[in-house]
Amino acid sequence: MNKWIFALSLALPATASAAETPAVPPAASATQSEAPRFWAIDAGLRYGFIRDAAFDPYSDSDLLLQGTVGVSRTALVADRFSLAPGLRWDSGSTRATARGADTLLLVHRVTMPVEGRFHLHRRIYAFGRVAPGALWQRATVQDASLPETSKSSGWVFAGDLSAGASLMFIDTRGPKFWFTPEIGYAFAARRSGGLSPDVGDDDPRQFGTLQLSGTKLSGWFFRANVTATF
Amino acid sequence: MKRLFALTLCAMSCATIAVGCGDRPDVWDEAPSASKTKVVGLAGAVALVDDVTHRAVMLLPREDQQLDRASFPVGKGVLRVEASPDRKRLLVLSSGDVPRRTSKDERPSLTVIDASDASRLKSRRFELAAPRSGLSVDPRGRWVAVFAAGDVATTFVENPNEIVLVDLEAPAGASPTITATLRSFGGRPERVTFAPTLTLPEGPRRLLVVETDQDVSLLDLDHQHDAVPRPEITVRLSPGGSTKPMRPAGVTFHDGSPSRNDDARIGVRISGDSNVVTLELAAATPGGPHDFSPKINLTDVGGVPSDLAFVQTDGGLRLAALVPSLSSAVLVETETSITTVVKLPAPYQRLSLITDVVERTALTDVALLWNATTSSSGVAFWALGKTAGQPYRSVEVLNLGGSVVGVRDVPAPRAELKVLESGGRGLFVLDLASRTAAPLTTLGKATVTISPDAERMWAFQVGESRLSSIDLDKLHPTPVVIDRAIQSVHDVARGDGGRSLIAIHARGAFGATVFDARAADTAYSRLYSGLLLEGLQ
Amino acid sequence: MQLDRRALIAPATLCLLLGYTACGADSAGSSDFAPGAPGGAADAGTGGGGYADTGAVDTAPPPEREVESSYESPVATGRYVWIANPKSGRVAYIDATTLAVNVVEAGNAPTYLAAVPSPPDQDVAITLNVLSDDATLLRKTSAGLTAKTFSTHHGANAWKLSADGRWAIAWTDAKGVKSAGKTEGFQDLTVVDLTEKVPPTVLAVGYRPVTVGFTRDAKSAWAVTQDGITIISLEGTGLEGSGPLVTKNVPIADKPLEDTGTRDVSVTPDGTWALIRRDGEKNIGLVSLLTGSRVTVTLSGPVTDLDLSEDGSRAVAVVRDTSEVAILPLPGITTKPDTFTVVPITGETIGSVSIAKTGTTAVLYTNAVPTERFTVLKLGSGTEAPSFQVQKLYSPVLAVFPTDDAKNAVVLHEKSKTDTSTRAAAFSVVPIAAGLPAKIVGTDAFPMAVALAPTSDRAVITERDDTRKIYGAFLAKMPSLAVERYPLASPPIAVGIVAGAKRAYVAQEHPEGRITFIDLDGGTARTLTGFELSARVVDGSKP
Repeated sequence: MNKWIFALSLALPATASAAETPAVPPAASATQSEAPRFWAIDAGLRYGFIRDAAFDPYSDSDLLLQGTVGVSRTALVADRFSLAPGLRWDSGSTRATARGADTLLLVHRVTMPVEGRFHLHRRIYAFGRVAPGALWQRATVQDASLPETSKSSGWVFAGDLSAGASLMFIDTRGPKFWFTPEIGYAFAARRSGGLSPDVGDDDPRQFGTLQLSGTKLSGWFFRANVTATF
Repeated sequence: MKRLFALTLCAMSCATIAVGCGDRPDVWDEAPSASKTKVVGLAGAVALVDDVTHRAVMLLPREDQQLDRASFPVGKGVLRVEASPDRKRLLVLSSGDVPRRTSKDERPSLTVIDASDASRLKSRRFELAAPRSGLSVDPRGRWVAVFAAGDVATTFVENPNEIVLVDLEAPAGASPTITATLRSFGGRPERVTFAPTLTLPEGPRRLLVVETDQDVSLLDLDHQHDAVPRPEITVRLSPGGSTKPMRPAGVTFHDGSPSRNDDARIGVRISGDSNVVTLELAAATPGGPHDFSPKINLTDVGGVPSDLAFVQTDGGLRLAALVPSLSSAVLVETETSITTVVKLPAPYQRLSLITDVVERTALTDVALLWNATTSSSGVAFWALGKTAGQPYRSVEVLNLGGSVVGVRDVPAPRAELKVLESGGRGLFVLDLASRTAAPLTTLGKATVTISPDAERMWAFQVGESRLSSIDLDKLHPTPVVIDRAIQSVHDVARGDGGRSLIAIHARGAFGATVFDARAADTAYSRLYSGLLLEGLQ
Repeated sequence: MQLDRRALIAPATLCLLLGYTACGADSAGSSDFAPGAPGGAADAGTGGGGYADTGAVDTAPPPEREVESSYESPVATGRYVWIANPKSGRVAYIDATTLAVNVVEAGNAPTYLAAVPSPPDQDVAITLNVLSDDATLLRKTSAGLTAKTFSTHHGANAWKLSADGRWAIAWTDAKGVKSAGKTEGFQDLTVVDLTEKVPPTVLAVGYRPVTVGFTRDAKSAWAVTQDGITIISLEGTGLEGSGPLVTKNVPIADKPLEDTGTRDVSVTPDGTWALIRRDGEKNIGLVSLLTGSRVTVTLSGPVTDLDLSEDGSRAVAVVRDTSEVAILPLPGITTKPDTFTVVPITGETIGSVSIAKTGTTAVLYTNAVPTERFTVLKLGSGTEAPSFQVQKLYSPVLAVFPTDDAKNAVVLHEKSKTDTSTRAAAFSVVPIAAGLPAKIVGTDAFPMAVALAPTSDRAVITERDDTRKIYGAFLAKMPSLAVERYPLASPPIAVGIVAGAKRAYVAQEHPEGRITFIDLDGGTARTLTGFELSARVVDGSKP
């Protein structure tokens, strides 16, 4: 399902871009002699491909779909190059059935990307991004062998390396809107394994740990955002 | 520009779809089931043999009710799972990939997991030429016999008389797997028994006794590694002029006099026939392949016997046959085939020798008689000596007010105890020394597990959460209520010298409750879940 | 191999069942003897005479009683015991040394077995197949077993073998046929050349032969019939070509209408003379089988028994009325019928005689009246005069069986009317040469068969009571007189000694076949049951 939503999400901007051709102000020049300075706010979807075997209980494919929002600001400009630090938050979850047990993996990724841009055109710029950060995940398993749900959560270090391009598709005097596809590789440390039943602190029972390996959410990802710059 | 933009997006979406069509192994898609998961208790572990994931998950208890888990692959298509008689090994027969399409597909195999040292589990796999579902394990732990049991169709064509012997202690350089094809006169093996060591003319020997549906074969195990293995001896039980099948129904052994090497005997019961067959393993004619030859004696005991055993009486060795239709036991003198009928108070069907337990220095045997049907109640003690005017001393009945459907042995050091399972609700703890039988009532049909240290037993009802620990010394029951339905319980030794009780819950991916077996208290238990989810990544 | 007849079954006295009415009319497979029925190995009676009712009070004592042997019993050769199974058509042969059992296919209903004299390295037996009217010769050597079939006449139920093992005569003993009509003469007999130089020949002899024999040189045979003694030449020629041929019939009765049931005929081993004793007559007739001439020897009173020594050198006749024994030298008595030795056995009642194999000793006893003694007669030789001694016993004598060396004897007793014990009968082991007291052993059932070892140091006696289901065998050791009893699981039907294996065997009634072997030295017993099963054990030694 996620694959089809993903494909559709890619197709829609393409269709929109074909259908809607915003007018270019006649006064603007086609080339850019110096990189512009702007704030950028973007939102979109991130598609992560996790090959880690520890991910298998939580997903019947290797796909982790997250929503993503980010903000950045051009800090340095040199000719057509610019550097823009920012902040990003990716959040999503995946559910599956593992040998009859209901599983859920909730992932939040917070990074501080630093983006290097090369402005090819006033409507196009390419970028490369380095985004160190941290990742929080919570694994949940509900198996019939125990009434209580077993859970495990925690932070690990994470980071992205990616590259992409932004293509302006709406040019106004005010904010400009860009379509920003991006591809990259996510790095994440492996979370320690073991899930324990989620019971209150006053529950006197002792439980054994469900020894599922902690996931390592590294892998290629693709992100498609709509960015507004101003 | 726009076209380039659109094309770029489409290409990336297709590539992404292709890359994103990842999948996970099929094992995650099939839930464990009680029918495909065999639970076997060993001396120091509990094994969950999961046919879906083709592995055995070993649960090893530690202090503080911790449970270590270790997985071992066991081959695809589990056909049979058995524990060795000493409960130190797990044996799993697998059929492998059927059909094999590539050279990498698995062949049928026997996996032996040695759990005698909980800190160092070892696994060995023996490939087999063809899948087989029958398994018989040597009580001494050396041999395993694999054969076609006929209850599970494994291949389109199979030779039921082909027996694979696996020597777990094969000498260096020798192949541990030996395939023996028994000669057949139309029969197929139904039961395979490892005989105890018998003194034969060329010395002590281990024999494998194979009962088919019409004859008995004796295979000399100690000569199977010879360059030319000794052929088996086949004793055909049908006279040849009759179409009536003479199907063996069980065997019993006796090593004979300690001073002789030519009087070991095997007693054979025939299904639906009043004859018993005694095979005396006397010296063979020189020049043959064997040093022994069975001399046959047929004795009619007056009715179809239900059980058979060699017993020592004041008059010497006898073959005792229980004949329920006569409410009698018939003692057959092995040298002359003379029979003596001993009337019994009830038509007992089963017999167990308890001499070592009750009268260690006795020269004559004492037997416990009990009945598997509901037609008579209680058990009886049968002393096989003679008193003046009365053959074969006494038959003392212990009336229990109900039938006895099973007798469970209690291991040393409480071997004088037996746990009697009745057909109704309740148990009895029988003390052979004092000849007392203490009743224990249950709320439902109880399943009993006896601790290997003979200190206690556990009684529970399958599918319920109630469990009781019964101290075998004081017969004091301690109720234990677990919050999950129990499928089985296992009293297992821990590495620190203690013992843990592991109750298995066969729901979902299987769970377990662990607590100290010697101080059963759920306040100090530990609950586990999803045991069959682990170890797959 | 020289066949030890004595080792197999005490000749002419295999089974004794006294007062054993339950077994009295038993059929094939049992070698019992009903009291009152006519018997006697050389008795040409038809069964219609004799003593129909036992216990009749006569002023004169009844005649002595003798028994017959049965060919349906197992036979022993040097090392093997052969047992026929008429139902399966097989003959089981058991190696008495190793107790290995094998079976071999014979004809249809093999029933009557006989051991064939053979070289020491062979064990040979022959069986009559009743339903296929043929005989199967079974020869066991180190190379294996071979079987040959010979056709016979219909209805044969007895064998006689020549001492050299070449000839076998199958004949019909009328006593083995129930309800035989008068028109059934049973006159056919088949002469079989076991070397196959001559095909089996069916010949007709006189009416209802009672015994058949061969001369020592096996050149001729004879059959004692109601018409006389028929002589068969085994190498004669005739109109029909070479082969066995009846050459003559020698009448042995002066009166053609004489009752043949009252006479007792013995033939000398060389086949030259026949000695005829008739009940109630004091004359013993001798008839030359060569010339037909006759000689009459007159004794002091009616001769009650006559026995011939094994070497044929003398005959001993008993006159019960005068308690005298006449020792007749052979062949001297034929030319000097008045020259013989008379030994009065003063003070004793004697009516029967049995000469030991040595030929130098005979035992004298009577079973016509209860007598708790018997007499040992040394026959003397050369200058030594005959002498006798009386042996005291403690129960009435039924029969006496001396060992081959004449040093011991086994005496079967019937129960005395004054005996209040619960025992059914008894037997005694008597050291007759040493003159020591006899040892009596009470039995819970009636003794029915005796087998004496050729070594003369062992005897086996069986007992049987079907009503009370008491079956057993006794092993008596001589000269120690130690006796050990072996209970049996089934009724015994025959007992014998397998000299080559030093074992005695007791064959018993059992649908699958049962036999107990008793080691003569160690005394251990082993029972085999299920001969067909035992033969079907496959050990891989044969492809």
